[in-house]
Amino acid sequence: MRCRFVGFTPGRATLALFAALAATAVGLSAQGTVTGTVVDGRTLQPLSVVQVDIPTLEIGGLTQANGQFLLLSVPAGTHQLRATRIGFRTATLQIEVTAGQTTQIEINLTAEALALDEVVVTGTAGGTRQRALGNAMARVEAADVAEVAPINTMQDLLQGREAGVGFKRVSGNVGTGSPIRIRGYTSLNVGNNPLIYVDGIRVDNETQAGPSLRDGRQVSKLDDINPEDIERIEVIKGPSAATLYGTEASNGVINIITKRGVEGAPQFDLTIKQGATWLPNAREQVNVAYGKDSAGNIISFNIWDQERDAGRQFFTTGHSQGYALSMRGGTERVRYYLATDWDDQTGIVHYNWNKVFNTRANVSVVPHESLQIDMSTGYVNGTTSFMQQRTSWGVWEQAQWSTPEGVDTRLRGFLRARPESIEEVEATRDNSRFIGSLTLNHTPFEWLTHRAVIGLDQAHEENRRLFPRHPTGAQHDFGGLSLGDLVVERPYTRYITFDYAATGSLDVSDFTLRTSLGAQYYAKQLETVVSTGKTFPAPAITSLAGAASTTSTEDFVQNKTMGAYVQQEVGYQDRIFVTAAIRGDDNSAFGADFDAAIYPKLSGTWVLSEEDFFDVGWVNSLRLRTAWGKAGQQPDVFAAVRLYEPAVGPASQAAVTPDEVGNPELGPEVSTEIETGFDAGLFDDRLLAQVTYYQQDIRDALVSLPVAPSRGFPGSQSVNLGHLKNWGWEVNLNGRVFDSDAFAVDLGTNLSHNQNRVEDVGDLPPTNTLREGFPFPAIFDELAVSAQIDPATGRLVKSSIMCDSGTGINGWEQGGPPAPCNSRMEVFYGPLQMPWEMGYNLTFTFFNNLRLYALVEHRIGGYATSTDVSCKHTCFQTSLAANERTNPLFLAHADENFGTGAIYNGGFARLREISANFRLPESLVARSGASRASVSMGARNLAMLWVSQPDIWGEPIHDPEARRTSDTNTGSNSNVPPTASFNLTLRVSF
Amino acid sequence: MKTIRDGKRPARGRFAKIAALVLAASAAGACDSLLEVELPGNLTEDGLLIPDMANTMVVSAIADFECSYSDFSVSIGGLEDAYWESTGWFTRAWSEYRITSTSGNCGQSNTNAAFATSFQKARFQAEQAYNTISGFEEAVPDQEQLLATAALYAGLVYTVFGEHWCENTVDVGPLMTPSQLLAGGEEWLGTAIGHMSGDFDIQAVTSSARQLAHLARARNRLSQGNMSGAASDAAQVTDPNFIAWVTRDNSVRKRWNQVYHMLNENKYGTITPPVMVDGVQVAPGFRNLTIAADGSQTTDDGMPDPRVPVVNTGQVGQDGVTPHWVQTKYRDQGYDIPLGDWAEAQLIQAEVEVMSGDAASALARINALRDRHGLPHAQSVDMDVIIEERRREMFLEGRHHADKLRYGLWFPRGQNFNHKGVAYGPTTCLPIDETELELNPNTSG
Repeated sequence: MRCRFVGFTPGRATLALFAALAATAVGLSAQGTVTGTVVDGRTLQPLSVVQVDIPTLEIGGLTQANGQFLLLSVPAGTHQLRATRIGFRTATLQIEVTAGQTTQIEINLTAEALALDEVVVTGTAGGTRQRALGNAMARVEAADVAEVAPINTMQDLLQGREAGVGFKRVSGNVGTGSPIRIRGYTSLNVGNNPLIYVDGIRVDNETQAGPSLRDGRQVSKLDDINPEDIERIEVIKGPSAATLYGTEASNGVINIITKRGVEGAPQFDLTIKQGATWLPNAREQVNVAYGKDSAGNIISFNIWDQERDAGRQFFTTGHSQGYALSMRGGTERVRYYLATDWDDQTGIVHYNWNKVFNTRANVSVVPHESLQIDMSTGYVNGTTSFMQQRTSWGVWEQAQWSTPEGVDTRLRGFLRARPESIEEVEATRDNSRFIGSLTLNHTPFEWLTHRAVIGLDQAHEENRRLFPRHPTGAQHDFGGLSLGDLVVERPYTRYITFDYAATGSLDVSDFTLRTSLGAQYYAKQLETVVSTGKTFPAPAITSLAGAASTTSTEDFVQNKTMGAYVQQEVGYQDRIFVTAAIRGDDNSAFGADFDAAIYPKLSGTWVLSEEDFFDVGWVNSLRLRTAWGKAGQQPDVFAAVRLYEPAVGPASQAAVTPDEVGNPELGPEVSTEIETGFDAGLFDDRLLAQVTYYQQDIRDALVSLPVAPSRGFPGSQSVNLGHLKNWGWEVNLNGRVFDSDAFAVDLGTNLSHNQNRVEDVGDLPPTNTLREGFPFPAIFDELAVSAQIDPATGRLVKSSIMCDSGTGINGWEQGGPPAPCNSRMEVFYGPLQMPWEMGYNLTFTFFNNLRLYALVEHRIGGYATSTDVSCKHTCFQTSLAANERTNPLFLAHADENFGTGAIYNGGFARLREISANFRLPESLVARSGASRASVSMGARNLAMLWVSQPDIWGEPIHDPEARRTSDTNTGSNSNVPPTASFNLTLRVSF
Repeated sequence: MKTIRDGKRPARGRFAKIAALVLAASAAGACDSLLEVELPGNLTEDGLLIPDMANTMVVSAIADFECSYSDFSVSIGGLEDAYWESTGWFTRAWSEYRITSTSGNCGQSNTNAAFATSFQKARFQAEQAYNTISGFEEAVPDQEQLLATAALYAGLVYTVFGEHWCENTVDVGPLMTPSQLLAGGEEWLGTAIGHMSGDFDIQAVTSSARQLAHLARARNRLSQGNMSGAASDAAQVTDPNFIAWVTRDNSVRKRWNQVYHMLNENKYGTITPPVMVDGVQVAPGFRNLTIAADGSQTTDDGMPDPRVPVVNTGQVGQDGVTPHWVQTKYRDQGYDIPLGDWAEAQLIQAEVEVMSGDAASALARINALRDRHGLPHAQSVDMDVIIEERRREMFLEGRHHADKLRYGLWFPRGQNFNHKGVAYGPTTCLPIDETELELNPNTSG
């Protein structure tokens, strides 16, 4: 804790004025006024709801949303002023109050390393204090992060900040996102998305939404939520912590808590952002393409150079801007947070943009001291225009796979379409989404609190992809598509939550008993109408009504879950806690012959440092914790039911055809996790250390088994027969390593190591990503170890190619003796996911005003396939190696398509964020009537610091983060690599 | 508009276990209904296997059969050497001579042998319809006709299996030889005829279900070598205008005439500059077929044979080399494919007559058929003439492959490579789906 007097500042807004008037009024009675601001000493963010008081005088009050407080009628003299807030170390300082004067101070509170008494969301009524929690819980203080880091999306907000929480990919296609993975991959077949809750209600967690682009659907609905509206995010990582969330929770739970009103005068916060987005090293990323002239000589060119020189630069710098205004305040009875936000970001081509309007209204009403009603509503409306349109028609791959052999053709060397043609194509997503909840917290007795929540997440989208009719029709770049081709999808999603929970407490001697129970009901529905139109009569006609032929289909999916839990927590002397719980769920996706899913949990925690015998000077606080528990993952919504789909018979008679064979015994995957670790505050609480080890055992994993055709049904059948193990450890180290009035250094590190192994998949045949005894997903393929070129002909001698014949488990591990290749010699290259994920952040703070901040994200050990490189080597043969044809081992891989000639180790370290944040001097700020202002300059993805493998057979790998959205798809599929962006942000509070 | 709400998933009181644990005990009954979901796009088995759906069950079997047969007709054309495929993609699938499709999405793609699973769907639906309707406590309208039709299409599928597959199976059972499959088909066809106290029409398919059943059994018996039985059944096809169709509809993707789609409609525009060309071209063995003035079967010598209508567009295929010959037998994607007709019945009888030494009767039948097309009369007839007449008469109807197997014919050019140099397998009967071998414990040994 560090406190300092700052003296009176005349222009310090209304509070100061009011203070001065008050001081005048009481001056004759030898009293003075104390006012000031309380801020977080590390983030410099104002702190609300801090109790500031003078205990000896019993004078006190709470800080407002802007961190300011006011104490009136303070007798002149010397007093001890105290500032307390849960989660922060109490600050006490001596003040001098002069009669008739106003004393102004600023108090910096230091966060407790462990914040043991902070309440976190666990699913029970009233939450749980961290000291009673048997699990690790990740927590992101969103407002703090947004203040210093260049944040545009939810992915930006979470990425690289918490151990075990990662995103598969980063795309340069503005408006797209990534699947989020917590503790890796635990499901073979039904997805690995964690549950997402916003203010207590379950919301759509789809990470593959939007129109179907080159790599399928790339929009993450997590990014619909505006980071500016978020107070904090709590991440429950594994089944042992997520048991109370039941079925669907085995991949973890992300609880998003939005900002709420704070008692006090209205505070307005204005945020203005201006920025730019560009593709770093565009020329090098497009790279040189090779070919041969008519004489057989190798020729090369860089289409980036060619087009730039001709004034047709096809990647540009996009402008981004954002404006946000919020108001928060309230009285003892009514508090509110109202916000609106407009963001407009343009990518590296002018037709890739994302325009989003957000608004939020959160109101809390306290009609009675025992009852609080919280209403939370958010609405987003936006349109995104994407830069990749349908398979093979994006400017990135048209440049990637350019050829010097085509320079003199109409295509100028581009693969199939020119950039000016591609920009005629439209691929857009219109999104309108409402998330609202109503929460009633009632505490009829001191020992009992209960809560009811109802909520709705409802979204209407329109995904539209149009190849307009071109005057030359099929002679244009897109062939038949240029006659006019339109796809319109209209997904309508609705999630409904009903949640009731109650918690009763009873103190018996040294024991505290807390009994919680609850019941939840979730219903979700997805209805999609897809219409297509082909062949338009003229370029101006672009509606379905104008198409020569149209089709229309409708898809409808509904799923419902009902469950209940009971939990008993026993605390001893507020230091040792044991919690046992059990949850039961039924789900409409379970088979008719499957009984309810039961998920138990047991956890314990011990605040060792509060024991009398504990005396380790440099360990201020230490908590041990361990937990065991189960959670589930539901099957596909109708996978249990035998289904027939509509068909048409002779003379247009109604008919049906077998569709899904069903499985009446189908149940959820069940993940059992044991987790153990400790949290410690070290060196005078300067350093927080959290270490966690976990081990998950996933039984009844859903495997999609092909159906024997003679059963009369097509496709596959979901069966509970898989078994996986998933384990790893996580370390978070955060602390202020140097501190003085003028300068402070904060360091943060999060490390996670995650591994999994497929134990059993029954009769499922091995695939190139899934095999027993190995991680999932992984890459298996042939590996040539030697080959020869015939010196006479210069050709590869196919019979000379020798492959690694494999060793170890089923002969699938590398290192076997060389043998003539065959398709059964696929060996393990490596896991698709990154086993090692690290994030390092560093902050320098100067004079409590200027902060310099950087975040590096570092990943090691994951493999992938570069589709860009693969096709340069094989499909189009525009790499140097493919044209020289002198490396026999390369030719063996490229010609025989082993590993598509482009499997690589994808480790990297990237400077993810860097910024400078300057809090403007109060004297300057006050002149404008504001209470606080800051300016930030930040950049994302500015530099790649290290890659584990820079090239594949001499062809540079553009970016190891340009991966596919699908969990099991190994390639990059020519995704646009991450772009760099710069933001200049002005934040002003009134 | 959501029209079906049949799919309420039965929950069967499963919530009771949870309710016993927690506070929800009193609400267990309500919970079950809370978990009901709508399935407006699908039908559950409970919603299908009811008396009101009897006609739909039978129509569904026909629909699956027709969808399969349309795919089959075009896929099998590659093995009949009816056409070349200039891209190499189509015939590549046959190079390893494997069927691994489990999608069963007939009418979606023509090159993945989806017909194998789809025929099983048709068989399953036909047998299920027959068994279900038979088991209803009260008769449904037109019950005998529905049972006859279901049995007829079950018999048709078994017959296709027996004629074309090296081995196959049903209902996850043991492997069945062609003879066993044909015997199964004959039994179903006999069952169908047994339900036909009189004749009736199958809407849009044929005006005479009885003649179709007899023709199918004649076809089946011919493949079994039961010549007299085949002739006897073929003789029951008495109406010269009799024909049965695999009905097609241009407005429904799964009901397209896939032969027309692949040979005439499926354009490739990926070459530069984009020129829309067909990927599949009629092979030399079916080009310029003629009947000479003396009635002999010739090529480019005599009167063009209208039964094999093809034209050379003067273009080339996608590879830039293969001459672009297209068929004109089917004029659009909605053109029905013949499933069987009086002509086939005559050819079966003629074949039996030739085999039994009654060439004169056979010649009369052949010439009667030629009269329908205004072609010169043949002067004599033997098995070679019969086979060639069948090849021309049933051009692109998915029939010639069975003849090749039955007669031990090889490809017209006498080689076992397609024109792209891809080798056909060691035999020309269709292999069982490999997925079946992997997943069916009764076939994997």
